[in-house]
Amino acid sequence: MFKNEVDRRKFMQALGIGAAAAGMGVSIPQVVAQSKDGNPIVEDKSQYGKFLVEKLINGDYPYQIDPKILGQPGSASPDRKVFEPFEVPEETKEFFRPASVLDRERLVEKGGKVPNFTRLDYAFKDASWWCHNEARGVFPWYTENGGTQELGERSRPNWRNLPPWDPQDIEMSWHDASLAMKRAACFYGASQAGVAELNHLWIYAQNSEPIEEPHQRPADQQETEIDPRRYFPNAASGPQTRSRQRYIPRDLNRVIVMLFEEDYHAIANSYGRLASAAVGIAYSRMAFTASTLARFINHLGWRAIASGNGEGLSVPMAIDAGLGQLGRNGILITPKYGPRVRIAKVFTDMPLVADSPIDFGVDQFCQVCMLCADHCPSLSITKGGKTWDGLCPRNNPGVYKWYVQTDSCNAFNDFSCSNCKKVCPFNKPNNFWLHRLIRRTILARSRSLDKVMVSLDQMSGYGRDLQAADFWKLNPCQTITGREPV
Amino acid sequence: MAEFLIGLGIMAGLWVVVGVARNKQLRVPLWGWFLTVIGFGYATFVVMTILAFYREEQYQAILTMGALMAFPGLVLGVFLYRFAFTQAPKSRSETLKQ
Ligand code: SF4
Ligand code: SF4
Repeated sequence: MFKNEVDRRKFMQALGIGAAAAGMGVSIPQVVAQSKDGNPIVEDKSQYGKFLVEKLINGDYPYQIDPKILGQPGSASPDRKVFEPFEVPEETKEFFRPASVLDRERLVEKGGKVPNFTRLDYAFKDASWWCHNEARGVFPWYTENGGTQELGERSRPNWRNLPPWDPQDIEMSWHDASLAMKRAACFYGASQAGVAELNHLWIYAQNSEPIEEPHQRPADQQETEIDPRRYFPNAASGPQTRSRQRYIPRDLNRVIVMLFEEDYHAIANSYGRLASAAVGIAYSRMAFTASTLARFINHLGWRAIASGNGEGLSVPMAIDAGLGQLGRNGILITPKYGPRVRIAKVFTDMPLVADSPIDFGVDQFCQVCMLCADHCPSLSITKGGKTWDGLCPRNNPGVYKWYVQTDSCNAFNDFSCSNCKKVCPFNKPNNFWLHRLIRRTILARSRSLDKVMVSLDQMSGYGRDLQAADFWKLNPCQTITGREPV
Repeated sequence: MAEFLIGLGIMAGLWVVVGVARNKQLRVPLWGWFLTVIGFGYATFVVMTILAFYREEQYQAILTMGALMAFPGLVLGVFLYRFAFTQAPKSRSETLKQ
């Protein structure tokens, strides 16, 4: 069980050492203190911005699960009743109408002139998804012949019939090899990458390899019909038959998780079309990067399966890979980019060295901060405490967390909203020394300090809308990112 | 460039304060000078923060954070003006001459 305690005195020392060193412009040692549990508190500018991060090296995780309740998650599979009735807020009622109705109204009846939903904004959004949609074969979910059905086959290395690559051939350790895989992921387009041992509990039930022999499901579970348009109204393909035998083989026991940063200004346009464009272009990058990385690993003689949202839950895998923590808004909060990321992954049997999960104070901060819940237009985020039970059929009970009403979230504005990212105080660029200074205090886990920071954040006007008309006037290459200023 | 100008402005401000204290023959205690230097350091911090908010286009933050941060500076300024930068009491010889 994870104990969220940090030795305050040591923390203050670390804060002082770090601040002094930063002020003098000298580099500081990476491990700046130790927590009460003996975990190192580290500073790594390139990985974590200016956050002080506790590395959970003792096998702890920054979440609690109840193995008696937690089952393998179901995805948006057709045999589940996906959309349950939920309360629709009066103020945003019109946004719950079907996408086709909304699009027609904005583009045809109102002549493409509705602010934040103009024809320019719509075209921008749809184009950003293009690469993802065209290349969806790289994500097994979408392959024409049943996708994950062939996962086992697709993942098989066949490059020049060479045996699996051993890093020792070139005097590299497996640790170096893991670093090389993360380097490759970033080279191919990821913003950040981490490695985790694959916990098969996070694999969707229908993609999980049956433990019993033979690896066959009962006949009535072998085939099913799915209509992607039910979940993705713009999906090009109609109903498909899919085999239920698709699975991630259990000997694929590592996962490389990749983060893709979304544009700060475009997300600030939520729930206008530009925020959807930021999401779309991240998906397109995911498709390209994950499939290229999987191909690279195949060429090294190891098995690899590229995956976007499919096959398993991305957020817990990213947490296991040390890339962030879970927020009240139900998404990954990362030190460097806050919640402004998309996640892709590559499953592999290459024996990479896993990264440690991290804790940088998100849990304690979310307890006092309600900004995402206050600004959620579909009332999907709870203002209450954490629970073991889900709020809707798509939630998977058994994890102690803030559950999010995913049904109402997905039904809002044609799946397109990023308000909970826009308003989150962790969604700050890394280009301002004051943000960096404040980042250093989060790990102190002081309720009163956190409350002050939330109030200051609101008073300062962060998280406000950026109108699409203003977005288009920005300097063409102006961007505020979590990346270090060049 | 902006940082350079701010530094120049702050140095000029300190210079003016020293000049005024000399011209008016104020006797400022050591702690007064110490607090003055700290005050100018703080003013630099506030102006730099405002500049950073400006660059981030957070105009509301300039107003609210600027006002919040300027308040302690104002209190310090009034305190120094009232208790540190006071006219020195005339010496005995000066009084006798009159
Ligand atoms: S994206 Fe976030 S803010 Fe928007 S409806 Fe969903 S939960 Fe609410
Ligand atoms: S907005 Fe606040 S409560 Fe919501 S995820 Fe971000 S920090 Fe947590």
